[in-house]
Amino acid sequence: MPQQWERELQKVNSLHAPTSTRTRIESGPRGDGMPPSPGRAQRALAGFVAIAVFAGALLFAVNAFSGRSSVPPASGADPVTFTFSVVAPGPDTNGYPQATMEVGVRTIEANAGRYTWNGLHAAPSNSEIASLNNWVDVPAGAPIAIEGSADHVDGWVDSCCDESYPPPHLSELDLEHGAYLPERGPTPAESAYVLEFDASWPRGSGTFLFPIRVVPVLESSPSADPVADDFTLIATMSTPPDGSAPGLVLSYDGIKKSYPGAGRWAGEPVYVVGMLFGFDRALPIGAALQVAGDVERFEAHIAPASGEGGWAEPIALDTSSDRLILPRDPGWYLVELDGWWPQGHMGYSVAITIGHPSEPSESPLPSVEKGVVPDVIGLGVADAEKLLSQSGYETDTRYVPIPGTAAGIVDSVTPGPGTAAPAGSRVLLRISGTDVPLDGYLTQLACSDEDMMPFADEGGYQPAPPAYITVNVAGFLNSDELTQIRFDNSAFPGAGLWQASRDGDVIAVIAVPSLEGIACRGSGIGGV
Amino acid sequence: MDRAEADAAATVPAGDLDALFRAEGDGLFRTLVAFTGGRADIAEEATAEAFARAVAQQETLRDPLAWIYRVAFRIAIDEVRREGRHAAASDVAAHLPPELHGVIDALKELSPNQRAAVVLRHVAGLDTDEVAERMGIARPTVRVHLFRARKRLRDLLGDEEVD
Repeated sequence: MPQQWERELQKVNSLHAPTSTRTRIESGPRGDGMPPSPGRAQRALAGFVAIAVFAGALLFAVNAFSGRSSVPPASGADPVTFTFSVVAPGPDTNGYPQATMEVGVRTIEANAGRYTWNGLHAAPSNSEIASLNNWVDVPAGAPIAIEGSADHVDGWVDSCCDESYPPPHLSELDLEHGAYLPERGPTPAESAYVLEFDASWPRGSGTFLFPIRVVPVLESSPSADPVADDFTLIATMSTPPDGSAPGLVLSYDGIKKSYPGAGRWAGEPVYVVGMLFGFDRALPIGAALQVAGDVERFEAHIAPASGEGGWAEPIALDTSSDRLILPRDPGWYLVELDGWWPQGHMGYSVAITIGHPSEPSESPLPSVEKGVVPDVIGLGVADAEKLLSQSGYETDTRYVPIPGTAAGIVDSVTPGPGTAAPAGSRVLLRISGTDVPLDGYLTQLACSDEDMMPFADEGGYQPAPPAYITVNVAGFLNSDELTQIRFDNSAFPGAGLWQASRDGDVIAVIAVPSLEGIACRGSGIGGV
Repeated sequence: MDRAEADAAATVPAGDLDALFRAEGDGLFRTLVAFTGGRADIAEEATAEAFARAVAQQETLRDPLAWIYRVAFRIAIDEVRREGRHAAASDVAAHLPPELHGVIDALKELSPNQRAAVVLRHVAGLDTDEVAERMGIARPTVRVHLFRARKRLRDLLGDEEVD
C-alpha cells in the first residue's frame, strides 16, 4: 500500500509539456548560426605548423637511427635554437661555458654538462648523472639552429634513461648542413631522447645534455582543434554559442566527457552541486595535458591522492607551453583548471588516473618501515592487511561492532603503531564489524561505504524469523521486508543472513541467530 | 551543440524522434519540473532544446531517449544556474497548478539529482538501471539518491499508508 509521500508524488503525473513545446522544437536548437560575441578572443597556439606526413616521418626515423640526421621532415616547424656562450670571469668564478635551448617562448638550461676551462676540469656529480632534469617537449622534426660564441659544435641524438653517462649515441646531427630533431616514436618512452652537444672555444670546451620528449607538431590556426593522440589529454574550455558559462570537455583516446565549472560568469556566481568528477580512461605515463578553446588565460594545478583518502597540496603545472607535463608516477590525481574570459572566470576539478595504480600506488597508503608496526588505525581492513604484509607481519582480525565507526575500519592494533617487532610477528587488528561478512553481502545496501554502520542486538525473544529479527532489533517499520539471503546449516530456525528492504532499497543485513548486522546510517535499524 | 553531445552518437532515423516526443515528452517534462524545483518554464525550454538538438543532428542516435535526457538535464542545470539558485516563490506559483505546490515545495528540499531520481523511479516507474541510464550516473549512486530522497520526502509529506 503506498505511503502518503508516494501518493503526493504521483500528482506530478498531472503535468504535461505545453503545446508550445513542439513549436519550440520545430524552430531548431538555440545558437545555430550565431556569430561569436565581440569579446571572445581565440587563444593563439604558439608557432607550430602542420603535422609531418607519416611516410615522411617514417623515412626520417629510419635515417635518424642509421647515421646523420640531415634528412628534413616532410613538413617544417619553427627552429629550436641552441646557444653556446661563455659566462665571463667574476669574483667567484674563472668563467665557464654554458648552453641553453629555446623552444617557443621557453629557454631551458643544459643538464649535467662537463667542461674544461682555462685548464680546469668540471664534471657532473653522480646524482646529476643519475637524474636528468628539465625535460622539454619539442616539436618533431623541427630544424636545429646553433647560435653563440663557440668556435665549433658537434651534436648527437642519444638514447635516454638508462642512467649511463655519457648516454650512448644513436645518431650524429649534421649541424654543418642542417640538422633536425628526431621524429616521434610509437610510445612516450620511445619518444624520449637526450641531445648531446660538444662545444669548443679557445679557452676550453664543454659537453651539454638536453633531455627532450618529441611531440607532434600542431596547426597554427587558432580555429584548428588540437590533435588528440595517445599521449595527450585535451582540455577544451570554450564559451557556448549562447554565451552561458563554459564547461570543460576532456578528450582522450576517443572519449569525450563534459564537466561543469564553478566561478563567476556575467556577474553572477556559478555553482557546482555535489560530487567530484572523474575521467574514465587511465592516461599513459608520459602523457601531457593540452589546453584548447577560447579561454584567454588559464592556470593548472595538480594534486596527488593523499593517504587519508583526500588530496595532497596541489602544485602548479608549467603553463608556459600549451602542453602541460603530467606526473610520471602511476596514481590518482586531481587536476584543477582555472580559465579566464572577458565575461568571467570558471574553475574545474577532475580526478584522473595515470598509469596503472593497481601496483603499489593503487591505494595511497603510508610508507612502511621494516621492523616497526605501521599505523593502520582508520584504514579499511584490506589496506591495513596490505601495509602490515609489506612490513613483514602476519595479521589476525577480530570483528567487534563499534558504534559510530563504519564497518570494515580498523579501530585498534596490537602491538600498537610504532612498536618495534621482528618480521613474521603477528599483529591483531580490531575491526568494526559483526557476524555479517564484509565481502559479498553488502553490495546491495543503498548507502556508501562510510554509511554502513555495524550493530548488535540480543535475541531475548525467540519466535521464528523474520519475527525473531523484528522483535529483537530496533528500528524496523511495519512495511520493511525481510528476506533470507544465506542459509546456514544450523538447528536454529532461520540461521544465516537476512536482508532488510525498505521501499525497494536494501538498508540492512542481519545475521541470525547472533542478531549482529550492518545497516545504513540513518535507517534506524539496530539504533543506527 | 557541444562536442560531448555530438559524441554520444549512434543512429536513429530522424522521423522516429517525433514519435519519441509524443511518447516520452511529457515524462521528460515532468522529470525536469521536479529536477528544477518547479521551474516549468525551464523544464519546457530544456525539453524542447534537447529534442531540437536531436532533430538537428544529421547523425543518428543509438539510444536517443537516454541522450535526450542527459542533454536536457545539462541544459536545465545551466538555465537554473544562469538565473540564480533560487527562483522567487511567485515564479513557481505562476507556472504550476496549486495542488502541486506542496509536493514541489517538498522536492525543493532535495538536491536536483535526488529529485530526478525519485521522480523517474516513482512517477515514471523506471527501475534503478533505467534511472541510472537516463541520468547518466552509476547505479549505486542512484540507490543512494533514492534512499536519501525517500527518507526526506517521508519526513516532509508523511509516511502513513493510504488507499
